[in-house]
Amino acid sequence: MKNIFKILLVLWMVPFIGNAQEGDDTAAEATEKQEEKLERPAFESSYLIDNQTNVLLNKNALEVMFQHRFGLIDDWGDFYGIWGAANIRIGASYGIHERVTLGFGTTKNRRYQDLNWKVALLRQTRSEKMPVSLTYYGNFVYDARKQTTAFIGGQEVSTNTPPINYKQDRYAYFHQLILARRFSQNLSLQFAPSLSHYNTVYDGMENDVFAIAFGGRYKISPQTAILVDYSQPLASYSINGKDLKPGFSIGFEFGTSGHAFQLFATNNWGIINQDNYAWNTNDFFGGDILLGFNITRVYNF
Amino acid sequence: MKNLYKLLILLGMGVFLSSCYYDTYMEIEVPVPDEVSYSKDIQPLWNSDCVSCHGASAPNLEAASSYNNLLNGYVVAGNAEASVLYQSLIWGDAKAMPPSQKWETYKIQLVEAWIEQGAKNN
Repeated sequence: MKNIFKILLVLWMVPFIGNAQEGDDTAAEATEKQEEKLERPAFESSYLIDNQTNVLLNKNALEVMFQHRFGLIDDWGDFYGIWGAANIRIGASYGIHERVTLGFGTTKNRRYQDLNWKVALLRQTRSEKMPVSLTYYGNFVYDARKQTTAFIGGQEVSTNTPPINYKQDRYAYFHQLILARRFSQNLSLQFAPSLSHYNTVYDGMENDVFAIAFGGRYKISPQTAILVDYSQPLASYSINGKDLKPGFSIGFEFGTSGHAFQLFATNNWGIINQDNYAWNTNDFFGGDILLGFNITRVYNF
Repeated sequence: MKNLYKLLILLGMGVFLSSCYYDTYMEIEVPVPDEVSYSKDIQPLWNSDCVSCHGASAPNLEAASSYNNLLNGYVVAGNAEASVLYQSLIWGDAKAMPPSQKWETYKIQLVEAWIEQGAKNN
Protein backbone atom coordinates (compact mmCIF):
# COMPACT_ATOMS: atom_id res chain seq x y z
CA MET A 1 0.00 0.00 0.00
CA LYS A 2 2.87 2.46 0.79
CA ASN A 3 4.38 1.78 -2.60
CA ILE A 4 1.21 2.62 -4.45
CA PHE A 5 0.96 5.89 -2.52
CA LYS A 6 4.49 6.75 -3.57
CA ILE A 7 3.82 5.97 -7.22
CA LEU A 8 0.65 8.04 -7.20
CA LEU A 9 2.38 10.92 -5.50
CA VAL A 10 5.16 10.93 -8.08
CA LEU A 11 2.67 10.72 -10.95
CA TRP A 12 0.67 13.61 -9.61
CA MET A 13 3.74 15.70 -8.94
CA VAL A 14 5.00 15.46 -12.51
CA PRO A 15 2.75 18.23 -13.86
CA PHE A 16 3.90 20.49 -10.99
CA ILE A 17 7.52 19.85 -11.73
CA GLY A 18 7.01 20.65 -15.40
CA ASN A 19 5.32 23.87 -14.44
CA ALA A 20 8.04 24.85 -12.01
CA GLN A 21 10.70 24.34 -14.63
CA GLU A 22 8.85 26.57 -17.02
CA GLY A 23 8.72 29.25 -14.37
CA ASP A 24 12.49 29.17 -13.93
CA ASP A 25 13.18 30.00 -17.53
CA THR A 26 14.55 33.40 -18.38
CA ALA A 27 12.49 35.84 -20.39
CA ALA A 28 14.69 35.30 -23.44
CA GLU A 29 14.18 31.60 -23.31
CA ALA A 30 10.46 32.09 -22.90
CA THR A 31 10.33 34.16 -26.04
CA GLU A 32 12.30 31.52 -27.88
CA LYS A 33 9.86 28.87 -26.63
CA GLN A 34 6.90 30.82 -27.88
CA GLU A 35 8.45 30.81 -31.32
CA GLU A 36 9.14 27.08 -31.08
CA LYS A 37 6.55 25.37 -33.27
CA LEU A 38 5.02 22.19 -32.02
CA GLU A 39 5.13 19.13 -34.26
CA ARG A 40 1.81 18.12 -35.81
CA PRO A 41 -0.06 15.49 -33.76
CA ALA A 42 1.50 12.05 -34.06
CA PHE A 43 -1.91 10.41 -34.34
CA GLU A 44 -5.29 11.25 -35.79
CA SER A 45 -7.33 10.79 -32.63
CA SER A 46 -7.01 10.15 -28.91
CA TYR A 47 -7.19 6.37 -29.44
CA LEU A 48 -4.84 3.89 -31.07
CA ILE A 49 -7.36 1.01 -31.19
CA ASP A 50 -7.22 -0.19 -27.55
CA ASN A 51 -4.73 2.27 -26.09
CA GLN A 52 -4.63 5.99 -25.68
CA THR A 53 -2.39 8.14 -27.87
CA ASN A 54 -0.54 11.30 -26.95
CA VAL A 55 -3.19 13.41 -28.70
CA LEU A 56 -4.83 16.02 -26.48
CA LEU A 57 -7.68 18.33 -27.34
CA ASN A 58 -7.32 22.03 -27.95
CA LYS A 59 -8.59 24.22 -25.16
CA ASN A 60 -12.42 24.24 -25.17
CA ALA A 61 -12.60 21.45 -27.75
CA LEU A 62 -15.05 18.59 -27.22
CA GLU A 63 -14.49 15.08 -28.45
CA VAL A 64 -17.21 12.45 -28.51
CA MET A 65 -16.36 8.81 -29.08
CA PHE A 66 -18.21 5.61 -29.88
CA GLN A 67 -16.35 2.36 -29.38
CA HIS A 68 -17.71 -1.04 -30.32
CA ARG A 69 -16.37 -4.59 -30.01
CA PHE A 70 -18.30 -7.40 -31.67
CA GLY A 71 -18.34 -11.01 -30.47
CA LEU A 72 -15.54 -13.46 -31.23
CA ILE A 73 -15.31 -14.53 -34.86
CA ASP A 74 -16.51 -18.10 -34.91
CA ASP A 75 -18.99 -19.29 -37.51
CA TRP A 76 -22.01 -18.31 -39.58
CA GLY A 77 -24.26 -18.95 -36.57
CA ASP A 78 -23.81 -15.39 -35.38
CA PHE A 79 -22.39 -14.01 -38.61
CA TYR A 80 -18.80 -14.22 -37.41
CA GLY A 81 -19.44 -12.29 -34.23
CA ILE A 82 -21.40 -9.44 -35.82
CA TRP A 83 -24.60 -10.71 -34.16
CA GLY A 84 -22.72 -11.93 -31.08
CA ALA A 85 -22.26 -10.42 -27.64
CA ALA A 86 -21.02 -6.88 -28.15
CA ASN A 87 -19.27 -4.45 -25.85
CA ILE A 88 -19.93 -0.74 -26.30
CA ARG A 89 -18.60 2.49 -24.84
CA ILE A 90 -19.82 6.02 -25.37
CA GLY A 91 -17.68 8.82 -24.03
CA ALA A 92 -16.81 12.48 -24.23
CA SER A 93 -13.69 14.47 -23.45
CA TYR A 94 -13.11 18.19 -23.06
CA GLY A 95 -9.93 20.22 -23.32
CA ILE A 96 -9.82 22.45 -20.24
CA HIS A 97 -6.30 23.59 -21.12
CA GLU A 98 -4.08 22.92 -24.09
CA ARG A 99 -2.15 20.49 -21.90
CA VAL A 100 -5.05 18.98 -19.93
CA THR A 101 -8.03 16.96 -21.19
CA LEU A 102 -10.77 15.52 -18.96
CA GLY A 103 -13.26 12.89 -19.99
CA PHE A 104 -16.12 10.62 -18.99
CA GLY A 105 -17.48 7.45 -20.49
CA THR A 106 -19.91 4.64 -19.92
CA THR A 107 -19.37 1.02 -21.01
CA LYS A 108 -21.69 -1.93 -21.36
CA ASN A 109 -19.38 -4.58 -19.86
CA ARG A 110 -19.76 -4.48 -16.06
CA ARG A 111 -21.52 -1.12 -16.49
CA TYR A 112 -18.14 0.59 -16.12
CA GLN A 113 -18.37 4.35 -15.55
CA ASP A 114 -15.02 6.00 -16.14
CA LEU A 115 -13.53 9.38 -15.35
CA ASN A 116 -10.32 10.00 -17.21
CA TRP A 117 -7.67 12.66 -17.56
CA LYS A 118 -4.73 13.22 -19.85
CA VAL A 119 -1.84 15.64 -19.31
CA ALA A 120 0.81 16.65 -21.86
CA LEU A 121 4.13 16.67 -20.03
CA LEU A 122 6.48 17.07 -23.01
CA ARG A 123 5.52 18.01 -26.55
CA GLN A 124 7.50 17.20 -29.67
CA THR A 125 8.72 20.26 -31.57
CA ARG A 126 9.44 20.69 -35.26
CA SER A 127 12.97 21.90 -34.53
CA GLU A 128 13.74 18.59 -32.77
CA LYS A 129 14.67 20.50 -29.64
CA MET A 130 12.13 18.19 -28.02
CA PRO A 131 12.23 15.01 -30.10
CA VAL A 132 9.36 13.15 -28.37
CA SER A 133 6.02 13.71 -26.66
CA LEU A 134 5.42 12.41 -23.16
CA THR A 135 1.85 12.23 -21.95
CA TYR A 136 0.27 10.97 -18.76
CA TYR A 137 -3.13 9.30 -18.94
CA GLY A 138 -5.12 8.09 -15.95
CA ASN A 139 -8.61 6.98 -15.10
CA PHE A 140 -10.89 6.01 -12.26
CA VAL A 141 -13.49 3.38 -13.04
CA TYR A 142 -16.65 2.46 -11.16
CA ASP A 143 -18.34 -0.89 -11.72
CA ALA A 144 -22.01 0.10 -11.61
CA ARG A 145 -23.59 -3.35 -11.98
CA LYS A 146 -26.58 -4.06 -9.82
CA GLN A 147 -25.61 -6.35 -6.98
CA THR A 148 -27.50 -9.63 -7.19
CA THR A 149 -27.55 -12.32 -4.54
CA ALA A 150 -29.28 -15.64 -4.19
CA PHE A 151 -29.61 -18.40 -1.62
CA ILE A 152 -27.80 -21.24 -3.31
CA GLY A 153 -27.20 -24.48 -1.48
CA GLY A 154 -28.49 -22.84 1.67
CA GLN A 155 -26.13 -19.83 1.72
CA GLU A 156 -26.47 -16.32 0.33
CA VAL A 157 -23.88 -15.52 -2.32
CA SER A 158 -23.30 -12.70 -4.78
CA THR A 159 -24.16 -14.18 -8.16
CA ASN A 160 -22.42 -11.44 -10.12
CA THR A 161 -19.32 -12.41 -12.09
CA PRO A 162 -17.03 -11.28 -10.61
CA PRO A 163 -18.85 -10.91 -7.28
CA ILE A 164 -19.77 -7.60 -5.70
CA ASN A 165 -19.52 -7.90 -1.92
CA TYR A 166 -18.41 -4.42 -0.86
CA LYS A 167 -18.64 -0.95 -2.37
CA GLN A 168 -14.85 -0.81 -2.75
CA ASP A 169 -14.92 -3.94 -4.93
CA ARG A 170 -16.29 -1.74 -7.67
CA TYR A 171 -13.27 0.60 -8.00
CA ALA A 172 -10.40 0.28 -10.47
CA TYR A 173 -7.64 2.66 -11.55
CA PHE A 174 -5.26 3.06 -14.45
CA HIS A 175 -2.08 5.09 -15.01
CA GLN A 176 -0.10 5.24 -18.20
CA LEU A 177 2.85 7.21 -19.58
CA ILE A 178 2.78 7.55 -23.35
CA LEU A 179 6.07 8.23 -25.09
CA ALA A 180 5.31 9.06 -28.71
CA ARG A 181 7.17 10.37 -31.70
CA ARG A 182 6.09 11.47 -35.15
CA PHE A 183 8.98 10.19 -37.23
CA SER A 184 7.75 11.48 -40.55
CA GLN A 185 4.63 12.66 -42.29
CA ASN A 186 3.55 9.04 -42.55
CA LEU A 187 4.99 7.19 -39.56
CA SER A 188 4.28 7.65 -35.84
CA LEU A 189 5.16 5.24 -33.05
CA GLN A 190 4.50 5.10 -29.33
CA PHE A 191 5.62 3.18 -26.28
CA ALA A 192 3.37 3.16 -23.20
CA PRO A 193 4.15 1.58 -19.83
CA SER A 194 1.14 1.38 -17.52
CA LEU A 195 -0.20 0.30 -14.14
CA SER A 196 -3.68 -1.18 -13.75
CA HIS A 197 -5.19 -1.56 -10.30
CA TYR A 198 -8.32 -3.46 -9.24
CA ASN A 199 -9.28 -3.22 -5.61
CA THR A 200 -10.54 -6.79 -5.51
CA VAL A 201 -9.59 -9.72 -7.72
CA TYR A 202 -9.84 -13.50 -7.67
CA ASP A 203 -7.36 -15.44 -5.59
CA GLY A 204 -4.23 -16.00 -7.70
CA MET A 205 -4.66 -12.79 -9.68
CA GLU A 206 -2.72 -9.60 -8.95
CA ASN A 207 -4.36 -6.37 -7.86
CA ASP A 208 -1.64 -4.36 -9.63
CA VAL A 209 -0.70 -5.26 -13.17
CA PHE A 210 2.23 -3.48 -14.78
CA ALA A 211 2.24 -3.59 -18.55
CA ILE A 212 3.92 -2.19 -21.63
CA ALA A 213 2.37 -1.33 -24.95
CA PHE A 214 3.77 -0.61 -28.38
CA GLY A 215 1.80 0.92 -31.18
CA GLY A 216 2.12 2.72 -34.44
CA ARG A 217 0.40 4.31 -37.37
CA TYR A 218 1.55 4.37 -40.98
CA LYS A 219 -0.31 6.53 -43.48
CA ILE A 220 -0.86 4.90 -46.83
CA SER A 221 -2.86 7.80 -48.28
CA PRO A 222 -3.80 11.29 -47.04
CA GLN A 223 -6.94 9.94 -45.35
CA THR A 224 -6.04 6.32 -44.65
CA ALA A 225 -3.56 4.72 -42.27
CA ILE A 226 -2.65 1.28 -40.97
CA LEU A 227 -2.70 0.90 -37.19
CA VAL A 228 -0.98 -1.67 -34.98
CA ASP A 229 -1.25 -1.95 -31.20
CA TYR A 230 0.32 -4.52 -28.88
CA SER A 231 -0.16 -4.68 -25.10
CA GLN A 232 1.92 -6.98 -22.91
CA PRO A 233 0.95 -7.37 -19.24
CA LEU A 234 3.98 -8.02 -17.05
CA ALA A 235 2.04 -10.55 -15.02
CA SER A 236 1.15 -14.19 -15.34
CA TYR A 237 -1.96 -15.71 -13.79
CA SER A 238 -5.19 -17.53 -14.55
CA ILE A 239 -8.74 -16.26 -14.20
CA ASN A 240 -11.06 -19.18 -13.42
CA GLY A 241 -8.74 -21.50 -15.32
CA LYS A 242 -8.04 -19.23 -18.31
CA ASP A 243 -4.62 -17.59 -18.67
CA LEU A 244 -4.12 -13.84 -18.97
CA LYS A 245 -3.12 -13.00 -22.54
CA PRO A 246 -1.44 -10.04 -24.25
CA GLY A 247 -3.54 -7.87 -26.54
CA PHE A 248 -2.86 -7.50 -30.24
CA SER A 249 -4.81 -5.32 -32.64
CA ILE A 250 -4.38 -4.37 -36.27
CA GLY A 251 -6.61 -2.21 -38.41
CA PHE A 252 -7.26 0.77 -40.61
CA GLU A 253 -7.99 4.38 -39.81
CA PHE A 254 -9.93 6.71 -42.04
CA GLY A 255 -9.62 10.36 -41.05
CA THR A 256 -11.16 13.67 -42.01
CA SER A 257 -10.63 17.03 -40.37
CA GLY A 258 -12.99 16.28 -37.48
CA HIS A 259 -13.60 12.53 -37.63
CA ALA A 260 -11.45 9.47 -37.16
CA PHE A 261 -12.90 6.08 -37.94
CA GLN A 262 -10.89 3.03 -36.93
CA LEU A 263 -11.86 -0.47 -38.07
CA PHE A 264 -9.78 -3.33 -36.72
CA ALA A 265 -9.33 -6.94 -35.65
CA THR A 266 -8.33 -7.51 -32.03
CA ASN A 267 -8.48 -10.03 -29.22
CA ASN A 268 -9.44 -7.40 -26.62
CA TRP A 269 -13.17 -7.55 -25.96
CA GLY A 270 -12.82 -4.97 -23.20
CA ILE A 271 -12.70 -1.28 -23.97
CA ILE A 272 -11.64 0.16 -20.61
CA ASN A 273 -7.84 -0.04 -20.48
CA GLN A 274 -7.46 -2.00 -17.24
CA ASP A 275 -10.23 -4.38 -18.28
CA ASN A 276 -7.93 -5.56 -21.09
CA TYR A 277 -4.67 -5.45 -19.19
CA ALA A 278 -5.91 -7.39 -16.15
CA TRP A 279 -8.75 -9.58 -17.45
CA ASN A 280 -8.21 -10.45 -21.11
CA THR A 281 -7.99 -14.21 -21.70
CA ASN A 282 -8.52 -14.15 -25.48
CA ASP A 283 -5.48 -15.33 -27.45
CA PHE A 284 -5.15 -13.53 -30.79
CA PHE A 285 -2.72 -16.05 -32.25
CA GLY A 286 -4.84 -18.90 -30.90
CA GLY A 287 -7.77 -17.69 -33.00
CA ASP A 288 -9.69 -15.60 -30.46
CA ILE A 289 -10.23 -12.66 -32.77
CA LEU A 290 -13.05 -10.16 -32.97
CA LEU A 291 -13.87 -7.09 -35.03
CA GLY A 292 -14.31 -3.64 -33.60
CA PHE A 293 -14.45 0.01 -34.45
CA ASN A 294 -13.80 3.39 -32.84
CA ILE A 295 -15.38 6.60 -34.05
CA THR A 296 -14.27 9.96 -32.70
CA ARG A 297 -15.59 13.39 -33.58
CA VAL A 298 -13.99 16.63 -32.39
CA TYR A 299 -15.90 19.88 -32.04
CA ASN A 300 -13.85 23.04 -31.65
CA PHE A 301 -15.55 25.89 -29.85
CA MET B 1 -3.31 27.49 -14.08
CA LYS B 2 -1.63 26.76 -10.77
CA ASN B 3 -5.03 26.72 -9.10
CA LEU B 4 -6.25 24.24 -11.66
CA TYR B 5 -3.34 21.92 -10.96
CA LYS B 6 -3.98 22.18 -7.23
CA LEU B 7 -7.64 21.40 -7.71
CA LEU B 8 -6.83 18.40 -9.90
CA ILE B 9 -4.30 17.09 -7.42
CA LEU B 10 -6.69 17.46 -4.51
CA LEU B 11 -9.46 15.75 -6.44
CA GLY B 12 -7.15 13.00 -7.53
CA MET B 13 -5.69 12.42 -4.11
CA GLY B 14 -9.18 12.34 -2.67
CA VAL B 15 -10.29 9.70 -5.13
CA PHE B 16 -7.16 7.59 -4.78
CA LEU B 17 -6.27 7.74 -1.12
CA SER B 18 -9.77 7.16 0.15
CA SER B 19 -10.60 4.17 -1.95
CA CYS B 20 -7.54 2.28 -3.16
CA TYR B 21 -6.95 -1.02 -1.40
CA TYR B 22 -6.00 -4.65 -1.98
CA ASP B 23 -8.36 -7.56 -1.51
CA THR B 24 -9.36 -10.87 -3.05
CA TYR B 25 -12.82 -12.35 -3.50
CA MET B 26 -13.81 -14.95 -0.97
CA GLU B 27 -13.56 -18.46 -2.33
CA ILE B 28 -17.16 -19.62 -2.72
CA GLU B 29 -17.74 -23.32 -2.28
CA VAL B 30 -21.41 -24.14 -2.57
CA PRO B 31 -22.23 -27.83 -2.06
CA VAL B 32 -24.29 -29.05 -4.99
CA PRO B 33 -27.81 -29.79 -3.65
CA ASP B 34 -29.20 -33.30 -4.05
CA GLU B 35 -31.90 -31.74 -6.16
CA VAL B 36 -30.95 -28.51 -7.92
CA SER B 37 -33.86 -26.11 -8.22
CA TYR B 38 -34.13 -24.35 -11.58
CA SER B 39 -36.01 -21.37 -10.18
CA LYS B 40 -33.96 -20.94 -6.99
CA ASP B 41 -30.47 -22.06 -8.01
CA ILE B 42 -30.17 -21.59 -11.78
CA GLN B 43 -32.42 -18.68 -12.82
CA PRO B 44 -30.62 -16.24 -10.41
CA LEU B 45 -27.40 -16.96 -12.31
CA TRP B 46 -29.01 -15.94 -15.61
CA ASN B 47 -30.48 -12.87 -13.93
CA SER B 48 -27.13 -11.53 -12.74
CA ASP B 49 -24.86 -12.25 -15.70
CA CYS B 50 -26.87 -13.15 -18.79
CA VAL B 51 -30.20 -11.39 -19.29
CA SER B 52 -28.60 -8.04 -20.09
CA CYS B 53 -27.79 -9.57 -23.50
CA HIS B 54 -30.00 -12.68 -23.54
CA GLY B 55 -33.16 -10.67 -23.29
CA ALA B 56 -32.81 -9.43 -26.83
CA SER B 57 -30.69 -12.18 -28.37
CA ALA B 58 -31.41 -15.91 -28.38
CA PRO B 59 -31.84 -17.78 -26.18
CA ASN B 60 -33.95 -15.44 -24.07
CA LEU B 61 -32.99 -16.18 -20.44
CA GLU B 62 -35.55 -14.05 -18.66
CA ALA B 63 -37.49 -15.93 -16.01
CA ALA B 64 -40.75 -16.11 -17.95
CA SER B 65 -39.36 -18.13 -20.84
CA SER B 66 -35.80 -19.23 -20.09
CA TYR B 67 -36.59 -22.86 -19.27
CA ASN B 68 -38.51 -23.55 -22.47
CA ASN B 69 -35.92 -21.72 -24.56
CA LEU B 70 -33.02 -23.69 -23.08
CA LEU B 71 -34.72 -27.04 -23.57
CA ASN B 72 -35.23 -26.08 -27.19
CA GLY B 73 -31.78 -27.08 -28.44
CA TYR B 74 -29.40 -25.85 -25.74
CA VAL B 75 -29.83 -28.53 -23.10
CA VAL B 76 -29.87 -32.32 -23.46
CA ALA B 77 -31.57 -33.44 -20.25
CA GLY B 78 -29.36 -35.91 -18.41
CA ASN B 79 -26.26 -35.24 -20.51
CA ALA B 80 -24.30 -32.09 -19.67
CA GLU B 81 -21.37 -32.90 -21.97
CA ALA B 82 -23.71 -33.01 -24.97
CA SER B 83 -25.45 -29.75 -24.02
CA VAL B 84 -24.57 -26.54 -25.86
CA LEU B 85 -25.27 -24.63 -22.65
CA TYR B 86 -22.67 -26.55 -20.65
CA GLN B 87 -20.10 -26.41 -23.46
CA SER B 88 -20.59 -22.62 -23.61
CA LEU B 89 -20.01 -22.21 -19.89
CA ILE B 90 -16.82 -24.28 -19.83
CA TRP B 91 -15.64 -22.41 -22.95
CA GLY B 92 -15.56 -25.75 -24.76
CA ASP B 93 -17.13 -26.78 -28.07
CA ALA B 94 -19.61 -23.92 -28.24
CA LYS B 95 -19.57 -20.12 -28.16
CA ALA B 96 -17.75 -19.11 -24.94
CA MET B 97 -20.14 -17.51 -22.45
CA PRO B 98 -20.10 -15.12 -20.68
CA PRO B 99 -17.79 -13.48 -23.24
CA SER B 100 -16.04 -11.20 -20.78
CA GLN B 101 -14.92 -13.83 -18.32
CA LYS B 102 -15.31 -17.52 -17.55
CA TRP B 103 -17.65 -18.34 -14.67
CA GLU B 104 -16.56 -19.48 -11.23
CA THR B 105 -16.46 -23.26 -10.82
CA TYR B 106 -19.39 -23.48 -8.40
CA LYS B 107 -21.79 -21.93 -10.90
CA ILE B 108 -20.76 -24.29 -13.67
CA GLN B 109 -21.09 -27.25 -11.29
CA LEU B 110 -24.62 -26.18 -10.40
CA VAL B 111 -25.68 -26.01 -14.04
CA GLU B 112 -23.96 -29.32 -14.76
CA ALA B 113 -25.76 -30.99 -11.83
CA TRP B 114 -29.11 -29.53 -12.91
CA ILE B 115 -28.70 -30.96 -16.42
CA GLU B 116 -27.46 -34.34 -15.15
CA GLN B 117 -30.43 -34.53 -12.77
CA GLY B 118 -32.77 -34.34 -15.75
CA ALA B 119 -33.01 -30.55 -16.31
CA LYS B 120 -36.26 -30.32 -14.37
CA ASN B 121 -38.46 -27.24 -14.33
CA ASN B 122 -38.69 -27.14 -10.56
